[in-house]
Amino acid sequence: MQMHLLFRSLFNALCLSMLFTTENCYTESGLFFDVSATETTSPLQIKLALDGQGPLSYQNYTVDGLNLTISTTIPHHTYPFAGIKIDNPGYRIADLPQTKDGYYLFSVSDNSPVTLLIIPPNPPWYPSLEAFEHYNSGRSHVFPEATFGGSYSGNNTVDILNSPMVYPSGYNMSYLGPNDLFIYGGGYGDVAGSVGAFVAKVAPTTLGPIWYNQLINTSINGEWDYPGSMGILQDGFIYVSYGYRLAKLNKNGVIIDTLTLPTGGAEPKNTSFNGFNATSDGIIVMKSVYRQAGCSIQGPDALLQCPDPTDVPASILLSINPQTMRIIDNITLPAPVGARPTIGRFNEKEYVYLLEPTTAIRYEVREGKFILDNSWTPEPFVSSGQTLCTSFVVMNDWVVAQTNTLPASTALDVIAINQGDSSKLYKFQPFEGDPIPPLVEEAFSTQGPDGTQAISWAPMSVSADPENNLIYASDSLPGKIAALTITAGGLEMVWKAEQTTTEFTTLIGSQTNRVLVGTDIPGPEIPGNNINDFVVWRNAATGEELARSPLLPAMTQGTMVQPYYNGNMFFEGQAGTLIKLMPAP
Amino acid sequence: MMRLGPSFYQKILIIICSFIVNLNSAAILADNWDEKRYEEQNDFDCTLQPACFNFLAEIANGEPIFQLGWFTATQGKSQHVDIEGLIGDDFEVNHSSDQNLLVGIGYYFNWLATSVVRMQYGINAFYLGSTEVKGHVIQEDLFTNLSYRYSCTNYPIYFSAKALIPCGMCDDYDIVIDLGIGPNIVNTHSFKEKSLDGGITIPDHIFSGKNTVVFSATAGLGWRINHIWENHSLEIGYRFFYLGQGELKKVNNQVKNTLRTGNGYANALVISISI
Repeated sequence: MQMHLLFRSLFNALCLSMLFTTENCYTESGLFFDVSATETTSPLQIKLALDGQGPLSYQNYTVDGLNLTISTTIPHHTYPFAGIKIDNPGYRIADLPQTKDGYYLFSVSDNSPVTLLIIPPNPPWYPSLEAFEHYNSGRSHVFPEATFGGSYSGNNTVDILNSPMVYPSGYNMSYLGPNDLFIYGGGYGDVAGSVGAFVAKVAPTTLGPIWYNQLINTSINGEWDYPGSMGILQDGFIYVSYGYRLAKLNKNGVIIDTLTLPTGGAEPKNTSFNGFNATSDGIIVMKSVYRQAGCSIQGPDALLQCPDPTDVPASILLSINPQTMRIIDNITLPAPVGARPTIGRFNEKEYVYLLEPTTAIRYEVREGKFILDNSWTPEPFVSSGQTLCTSFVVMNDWVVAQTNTLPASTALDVIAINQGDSSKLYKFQPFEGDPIPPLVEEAFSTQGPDGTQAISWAPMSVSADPENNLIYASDSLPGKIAALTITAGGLEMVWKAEQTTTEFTTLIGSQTNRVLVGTDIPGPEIPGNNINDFVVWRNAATGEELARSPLLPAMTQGTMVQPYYNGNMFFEGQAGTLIKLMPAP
Repeated sequence: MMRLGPSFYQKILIIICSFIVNLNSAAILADNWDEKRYEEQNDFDCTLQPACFNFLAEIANGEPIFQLGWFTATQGKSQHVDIEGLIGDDFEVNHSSDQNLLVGIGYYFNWLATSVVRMQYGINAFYLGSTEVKGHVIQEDLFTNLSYRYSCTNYPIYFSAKALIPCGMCDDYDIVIDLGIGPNIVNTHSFKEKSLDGGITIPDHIFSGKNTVVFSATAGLGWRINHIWENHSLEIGYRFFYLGQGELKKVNNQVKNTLRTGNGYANALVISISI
């Protein structure tokens, strides 16, 4: 009997050992991760590591979307430092720092998936949430890394935090990261307290200045104080255009170089380069605007209130090497050009798009040299009673804009021109026939061309969402905002809502959860002379209001609610208060 | 064919005893060399081997040997490698046996001979050519996504004793028994990993080569032909090597423990020429 038990035990042990042996023999190769992707893009090569610090235990994957949901296939184990690396140059992961090996670390397990957002490259701008005033050189106003802090089902509140000191007429903000944020302002010489351009580094929690560099004092030298802009190129330096100068600062506020720019046919004191743009290889492009000679009115008011604002020379267009801070090319444009230059890439060529009084032109930019494209000549699209367009925005194969940057007696047109064929030109009047509030109508009774009744005024450019094929237009006199789309037959309205704004709109959030953010002037107040604003968050696909801020002081006119990290945004009060907006469910 | 009669087994017994006793004698000699005193202590008859009375002279008159051989080595050990934050990798060995050539060089001198055995002592260094260990990496104890391989090269240096037993009536042949102990420099190198899933999994390359000094021993049995050409002799024999355990070097801070070779062994056929 004992012998029987012995043999039985031996048999069992043999079976068990065979079982373990068999298990080892039949282990197979397999994937560590389950990956699903939304927001379609061209295929991207990524590496996913169970240990992103090593990196160790890592595999190649191909994804065809920007929004990734990742979990592991290994049961019952959490990987605290899993990592993702994107092999395609310039792509990065939103909100995560990069290791020296190029990985972004996250925690994941088989039952706790992680969602990651891939941010496409944005040359030549620094890879942060906002480095350039309108995100990219095409001025889309889509900030893909920014998120909405509230709930997409509405019922949100918005907390605010006021800065302890003023940043007069703050214009735009640029970031190296969440803790390195900079504000440029002071360019509205017609606003009390604005005495010329400044740049400051802002503490993200208190909003107090870490350093403050007043670049010029126009109240002393009398030069025209008109808004320029600030941007951070991939070299990490801060570039600021103000008046007829371009300054290069490091992140500590130290001026590395200042380039004095040529002023064309006008005196330096009446010249301003209203912002700048840059080609994908980092060449800075700047264009001049002028105050009428002999006019001493400050700020944007000079463009309206000087005796004859149109009595100015043709603008000049410059290209500048930011490394050497030397001018590469300098050409005189056919006419005065008000709107800021927009740069788009089409068929492997890079173009700068400019809006003349009634039509548009473009130059190819080749190694910094401007070459007029005589094959791209849209027919005049500014109708009688309309005024100039604001800047173009590049949207896929199209450039889009809206007329009536100055008060106009004809409803504004949204214009879309094909980059490949300028004869393909679509126009659409989204606000035609919309009633104007009586007080506004009265305030603008003689503001139109030649003293006519103005019915339309859009001092801001459109915003455009290339991924969703949507254009956002606004008109501050009827107090409306609308979304349009380009179809084979032309422009079509998607939605329209009541909202009175004189500012640019901001698009934040991922492609499938895009949110449109803009100011809204309270009902009784007159656009342009308003003393208050709300900030409104809308579902960009439907126009549904998601959140509304408390009543705020008026924003610097013609600027934009600035996106920031963690679902928050910044509001630049005209009087100088910087306000952090924190929407939450 | 050689006939192995009772006298042969007696000789083997004497040889083993000689090894033990001679090692003891060598220790005494090292402490306090005194020929006379040693002679008194030594039970063996040294009169047939005058050289044992002059140790230094024997060393000076020793014979260099050169060796060439072929060996088959067994190395490699399946083991688990812990990785920070991960379950870790199982390094399984699939191919632990490999062959290569060996070369050796040595220097032996005669000392303490008896009527049945002539003893030689010396130093003998070998170079055992590179042998390869291959296996699979089971990542997270679940997925066999990688294979790996690495090579070992051994450089053992032995303090050796060699017993030469005359073969019966013929002076031209000896049976040779070798024993030796000493350090072995185990050089691991050429660690490589390879994807088994068409390049989806990327090799980690978490180890690199390393030199490790370990204890080693050798034993051999051979057949020696004396005076094959003038004073030169030729020896053909079998050698067993215990090569000790080497290891690889971690090259990633996330890896907690290193990969070891396991205890290595080699069996060799060796041809030696003494000059």
